[in-house]
Amino acid sequence: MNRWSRVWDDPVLNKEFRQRMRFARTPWILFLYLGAMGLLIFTYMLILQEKKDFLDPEMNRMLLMGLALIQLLVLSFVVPGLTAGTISGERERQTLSVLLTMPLSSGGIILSKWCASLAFVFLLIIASLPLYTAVFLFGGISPGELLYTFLHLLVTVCFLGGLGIFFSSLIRRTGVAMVTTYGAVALILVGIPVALFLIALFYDRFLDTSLQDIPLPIELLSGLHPVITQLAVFYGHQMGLDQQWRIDIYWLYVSAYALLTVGLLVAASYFLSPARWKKWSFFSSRGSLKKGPKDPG
Amino acid sequence: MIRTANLSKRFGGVEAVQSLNLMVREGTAYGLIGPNGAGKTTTMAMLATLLAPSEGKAWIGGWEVREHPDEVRRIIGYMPDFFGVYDQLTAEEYLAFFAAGYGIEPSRREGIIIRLLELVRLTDKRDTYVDHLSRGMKQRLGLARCLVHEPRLLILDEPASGMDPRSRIELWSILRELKAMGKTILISSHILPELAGFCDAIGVMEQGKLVADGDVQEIMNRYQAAGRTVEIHLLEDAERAVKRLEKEEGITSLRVEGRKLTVELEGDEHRQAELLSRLIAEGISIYRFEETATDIGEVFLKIAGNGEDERP
Repeated sequence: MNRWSRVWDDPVLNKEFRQRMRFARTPWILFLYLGAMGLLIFTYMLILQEKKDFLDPEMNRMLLMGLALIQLLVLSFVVPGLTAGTISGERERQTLSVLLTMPLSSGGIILSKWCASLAFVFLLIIASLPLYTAVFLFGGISPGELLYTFLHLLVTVCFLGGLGIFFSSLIRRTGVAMVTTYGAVALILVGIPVALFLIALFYDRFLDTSLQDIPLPIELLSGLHPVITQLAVFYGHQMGLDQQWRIDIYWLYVSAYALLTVGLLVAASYFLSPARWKKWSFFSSRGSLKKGPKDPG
Repeated sequence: MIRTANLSKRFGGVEAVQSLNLMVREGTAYGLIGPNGAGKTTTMAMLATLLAPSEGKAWIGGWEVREHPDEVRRIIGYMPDFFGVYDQLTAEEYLAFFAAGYGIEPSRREGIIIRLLELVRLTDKRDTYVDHLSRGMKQRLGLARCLVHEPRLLILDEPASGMDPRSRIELWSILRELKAMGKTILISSHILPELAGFCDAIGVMEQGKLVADGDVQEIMNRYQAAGRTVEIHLLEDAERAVKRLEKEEGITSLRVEGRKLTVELEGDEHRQAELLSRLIAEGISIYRFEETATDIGEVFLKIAGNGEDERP
């Protein structure tokens, strides 16, 4: 089998796809997700129609940004729910020990589980793409903005998936793993703005009354917040990103979370079973074999 | 096939397995017996590469378990004492998942699955969701799963636990077939008489130590040598025989039930032969003189009860 055939024949990936699509709740998640998104767009357009702003490109930009932010927030709740039980669930169902006696690398198992969980999230995103066509009806959006928005969403979803799998691997109970993952997500979404406020207050009171130069900690922390960086895609100019800010917070966000995702997946593969973890086998789905036994006796 | 040298496992301050030296020959069945917490499951988990030993080494098929876990995984089929199944898969899909996991070519999988389902008597359940199988069927499916990559060694941790008598009989019958096929089997169980009938050798574990091991008959003989129970059935009243036996040395206990005497006697078969000759020489009418079969369970209790290393 060549490399691509092996990817398609990956047992964990296949099993996860099959199992996930057989859950009775799967079509309901899809239905509710699309229904909620559609309802929001429809309501927004209805409001615009009443305000006679229906064909205003600026309003259209706001619609796209609103959609992206809503999708971001909805997925912040959906992805931990999909991923935080992937490993701990195997432990609780007592299927993990059997899985670990197969010659699959820990990294391979984690990657397959991560890909399978994200595949469903991408299904949600792709299924919601037709809703985005509403945006194209009235213009005002550049292809670059659309591309940046989706790259941002992709990185965020990958990170959230990695976070869920990491806690699922680290913590034995699914319930605890899920609560911890949501806690970590809340820390990012709410904790960073709180920290930003406190830092701004500190600078304002003790160091520098002028906010002409944005303090570096504020730039760095802003670059770690999904909503601020998403806003930067549409309102970067208004935020003064191209003049006052030293760091391009969008690319800081993308690169920091991409790196964090890799780190979380490697750590998850370690915690899956420290006894079987091998440093260099992360990217190989099947363990390497050596020839000939070496029993001295 | 299996060899361990001072294999030990500690969990915090608890020594779950202490300096275990085990040897299992290829093609034989070896039974591990012992009470809960004796260290059987930990030993098996170390051999199945799931736990890293704290000290010592273990070799399976010549491969050192910690250094070559992937090679070891290819030659073992491990069935834990409690295991779950993927409920959303059919029996066939369940086996296909493991076949893929062991890197078996897709073209070979169907044939293997058909053969295995036949072996574990689940052919008619091929398209049934695992969720709908009985506990006994799930256990047999678990056994089929262990065999999917044709392992040379099966490590089965209490495979018959929680099964109804009929399922247990079916399982043991399949295990006998596997043994006849030349598989090496390391098995633990609490159903001791079944182990005795199946295994070529047994090891008795107690508090993480192997307190006795060897050929089943040899172990029973060793512990019977310290005392055997003989039943003597008489054609006359027991009075004369009792008087004679009271004079006899090496009799540790004597129980009389009508014309039946139950005697606990020190020594081996020769000692029994001597006693029989003396009773006959006294003119005591005996129509049956037999040693009661010693249940391996009794041997196990005797060995485990001593709580110290009794290995010769």
